[in-house]
Amino acid sequence: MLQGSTWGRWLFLGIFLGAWQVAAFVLQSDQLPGPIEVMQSLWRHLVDGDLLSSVLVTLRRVVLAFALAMGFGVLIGFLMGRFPVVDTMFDGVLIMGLNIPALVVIILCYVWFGLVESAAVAAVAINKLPLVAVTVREGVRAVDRQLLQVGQVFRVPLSRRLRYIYLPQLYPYLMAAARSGLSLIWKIVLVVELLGRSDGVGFQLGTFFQFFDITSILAYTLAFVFVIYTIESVLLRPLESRLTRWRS
Amino acid sequence: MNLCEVRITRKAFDGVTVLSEIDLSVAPGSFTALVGPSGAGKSTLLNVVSGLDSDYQGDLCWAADDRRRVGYLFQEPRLMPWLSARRNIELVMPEPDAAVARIDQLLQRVGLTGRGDALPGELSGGMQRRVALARAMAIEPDLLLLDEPFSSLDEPTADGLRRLLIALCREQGNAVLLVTHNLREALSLADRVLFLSRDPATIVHREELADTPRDDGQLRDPAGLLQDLLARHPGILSGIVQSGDRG
Repeated sequence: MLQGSTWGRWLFLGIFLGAWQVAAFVLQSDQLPGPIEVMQSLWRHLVDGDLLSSVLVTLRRVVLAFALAMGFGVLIGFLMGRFPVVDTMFDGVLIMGLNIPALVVIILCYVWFGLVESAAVAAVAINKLPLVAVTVREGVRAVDRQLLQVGQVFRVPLSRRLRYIYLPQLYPYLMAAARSGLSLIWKIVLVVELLGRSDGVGFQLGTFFQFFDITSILAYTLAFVFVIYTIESVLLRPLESRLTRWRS
Repeated sequence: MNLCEVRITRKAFDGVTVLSEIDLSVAPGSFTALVGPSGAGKSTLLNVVSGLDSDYQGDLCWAADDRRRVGYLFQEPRLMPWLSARRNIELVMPEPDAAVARIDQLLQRVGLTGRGDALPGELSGGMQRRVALARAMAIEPDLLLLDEPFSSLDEPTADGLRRLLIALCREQGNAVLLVTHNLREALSLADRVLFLSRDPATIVHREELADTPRDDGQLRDPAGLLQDLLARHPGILSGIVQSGDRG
């Protein structure tokens, strides 16, 4: 039997689709195709193969940029939270990184490194990295010192201290960094593709924009939403519930 | 030969002297209690001995520096809430992979057979302290440091844990250094009681109790000792024990 929250979610979706269809029917405009038309377009792009290949190319960039941003961001954030001298060193750069517009970083990466794949991935990772570092730094600062003292007194080896004392306290912060990071990376990857790549969802959306093909734009957006929901429900939520099981 | 010798000339926080002229030696297998008022700096002293605090003037000498093992029972159990009782003990052991039988034995010894997979949040306060005691004993410490570990428990539970502590220390032969504001607790457990003053903390009196009989695994009855102590040193309790401890 479905629970109340699931009912609510389906009910909202139904109302949303219904309102969309009604609005499209009333307006009768190319600029607002109805959901049925968008689904038909989605199917067409799927059958043609362009949708799947574009999503896979974008997904690959997202995964690479995400891994780079999380890897370096966690390392820098951890060191900043743990050692005040590192915090002082990187704090100014971090504030700058947080506030420089994504577009500036993308343009500079393309200008300096050329219109190549590595520049595209680096631009996305650089945009995301400061946010991860700040989140992890706050997590490290909030770590329970009394529990750390246990590891220190009992001379627990560093690898075990990191895994069993530090990490479990950092999980909520790492999950927050991953979630916010993923949403930001999706958005930036599309801009990067629009500006300097010849494949991927961003490039395709740029092409559709030139032809004012709103139906295809919405079809691609729908496919994208599906991918995001899949990652959230298959990967992030189960992972989060597993890591924070002890809280219940 | 002493297991450990502590000489603290001065320990200060923000320019305020907390510990001054502390001279303390711990013999192997001995049980020393330091009694002092709350806020005197007892925990600070244990932090120095444990190595958690190295910012002081003085010396800390160990008989065999490379082999010393220090167990610590804090005021709070300080268990990792995300690890089961078993994993909490395993965490501090030198070779966790080969420790299954030893952990089972310890859990059984502290009366937690079958609760090894429970998370700390699923255990009562007394049980959590039993796990913390098992964890401290798991490393087979040369010296066990106790920072008022039973102060927040009701008296029957605390007494049960004190008996368990005495029995485990007798089995393993480790030395114990207990800090407490509870003179009754000190007299019922220790072979030697040192009295600390405050502002700054310094040792003002040493009482040897090693000759006082104590049955195996049982607590010493502190009533007679307390009366005797008061008769010899009428002013010794001022500022140290709470009224309830005079009983």
